[in-house]
Amino acid sequence: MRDRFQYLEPSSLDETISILAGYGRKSEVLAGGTDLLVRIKKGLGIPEYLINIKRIHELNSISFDTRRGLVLGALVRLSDLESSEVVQNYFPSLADASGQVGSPQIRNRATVGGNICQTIRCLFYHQSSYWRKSLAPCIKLGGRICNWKVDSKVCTAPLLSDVVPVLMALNSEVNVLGINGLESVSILDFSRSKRLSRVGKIVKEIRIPLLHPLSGTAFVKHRARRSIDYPVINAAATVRLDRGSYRCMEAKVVVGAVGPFPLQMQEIEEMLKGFQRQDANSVKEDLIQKIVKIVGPYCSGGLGDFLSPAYHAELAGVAAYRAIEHAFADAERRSSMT
Amino acid sequence: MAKKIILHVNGEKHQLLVPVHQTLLTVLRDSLGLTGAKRGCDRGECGACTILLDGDPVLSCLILAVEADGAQIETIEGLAGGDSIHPLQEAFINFGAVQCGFCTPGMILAAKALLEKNLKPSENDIRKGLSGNLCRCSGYAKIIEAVKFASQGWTRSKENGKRV
Repeated sequence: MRDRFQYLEPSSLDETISILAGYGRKSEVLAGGTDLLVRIKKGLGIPEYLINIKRIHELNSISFDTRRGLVLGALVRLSDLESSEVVQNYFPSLADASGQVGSPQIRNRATVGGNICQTIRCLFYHQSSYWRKSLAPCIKLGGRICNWKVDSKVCTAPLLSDVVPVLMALNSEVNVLGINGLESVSILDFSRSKRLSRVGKIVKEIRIPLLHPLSGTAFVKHRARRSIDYPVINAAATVRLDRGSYRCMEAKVVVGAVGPFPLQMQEIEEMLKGFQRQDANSVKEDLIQKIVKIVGPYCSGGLGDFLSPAYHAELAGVAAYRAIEHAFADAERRSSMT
Repeated sequence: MAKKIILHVNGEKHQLLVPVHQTLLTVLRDSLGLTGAKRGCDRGECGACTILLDGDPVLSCLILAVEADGAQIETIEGLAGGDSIHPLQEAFINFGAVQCGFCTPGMILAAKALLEKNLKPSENDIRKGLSGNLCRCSGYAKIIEAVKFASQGWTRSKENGKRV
């Protein structure tokens, strides 16, 4: 990396916030580095000031209690989430998703705060400056065209986080700290927020409320290879069952990696109300096709148009259905424990 | 901008003045002459630059040297002990798990970290543990056999109280 930047290592949150407020758009926060350093190497927005926040130890904790639920400091590594007993027991879909991001080496550095800060990803954008010389600058680079969808006037590249869809299915909130204090936003609003609104702020922690005892969660991911690759599709589901009848009282179904933000399947969530697991199974094809219809407009075939859009949408339907089924199974397993 | 850092590499303490933009991979290879870690892709997709940082396998191409200030670093050069090679190195040789050798340092370090955490890995555990290390030569089969064999020896040593 030949790029020059100043490097700072604040040791407190207060110090970090003043630095970020001072340098604004010229600064970038360095946590795990597995996204930022790749972007810097590719010449995609080189900061003048790199702020390493890993000395702020208070951001490194996983805390859980049966009242408030789970609080994850922004610096909690994905490998720690994967192996945390508390997360495995109470929020298995989160442990599962965290354990499928990238590779073991990436998970040993990548942080949960950094993961939710990732922005949309496109094969034409995430290339070296040398490679991009052969194309006109795209919309995300401040140009006027999209090199991927040639007729598009807006950037429609997908958000490829595995963690964000799971956090959505778990009703999570993000606490963002800036010069004006602490602000709490839903994970969906956070992941949709533009770069400009994030300047001068950092993610402090992610809060995941405790689930009802008879809840089940699940995560499904499909990618070209079984490691390293970004998802072609992912889906997260949470269901809450009624104790006596095992019928679904409430569901959350989220499909990710298809559009600029994960899609909550509200129509499917309504359909699942009153369903037992076998009911969902008996209308499997109908459920899948409904999901296919909803995600269809967003499906383009994944990074590099790896699949046909139609197959991509089918994959989304199947992945979401499997997540729903596994969430039911997880809830039933829990009910046999309590 | 440059910064003074201390790196403990394979048990030896090094004081270095490094430009802040230099990755740990560059400093290990060019400043310390430890060329075992390889620059495969330089962007976190191949694992050839894998080293152990405070015991964890990480990609040295995606870590600035200044971030590793004070850390304990193990590279492939630190594995052999004087006259004898490490059991993992021996297994890799005996099982034909080394062809061009480019992925091998990273692969062995990832395997070492796996075995330190999991004494009796299943084949699936081994595949997952090595899933961040690409090999274009071998098709992985011999690598997995070598790690499986080394894990058996590992267990025995740990049970005897001997550290491998």
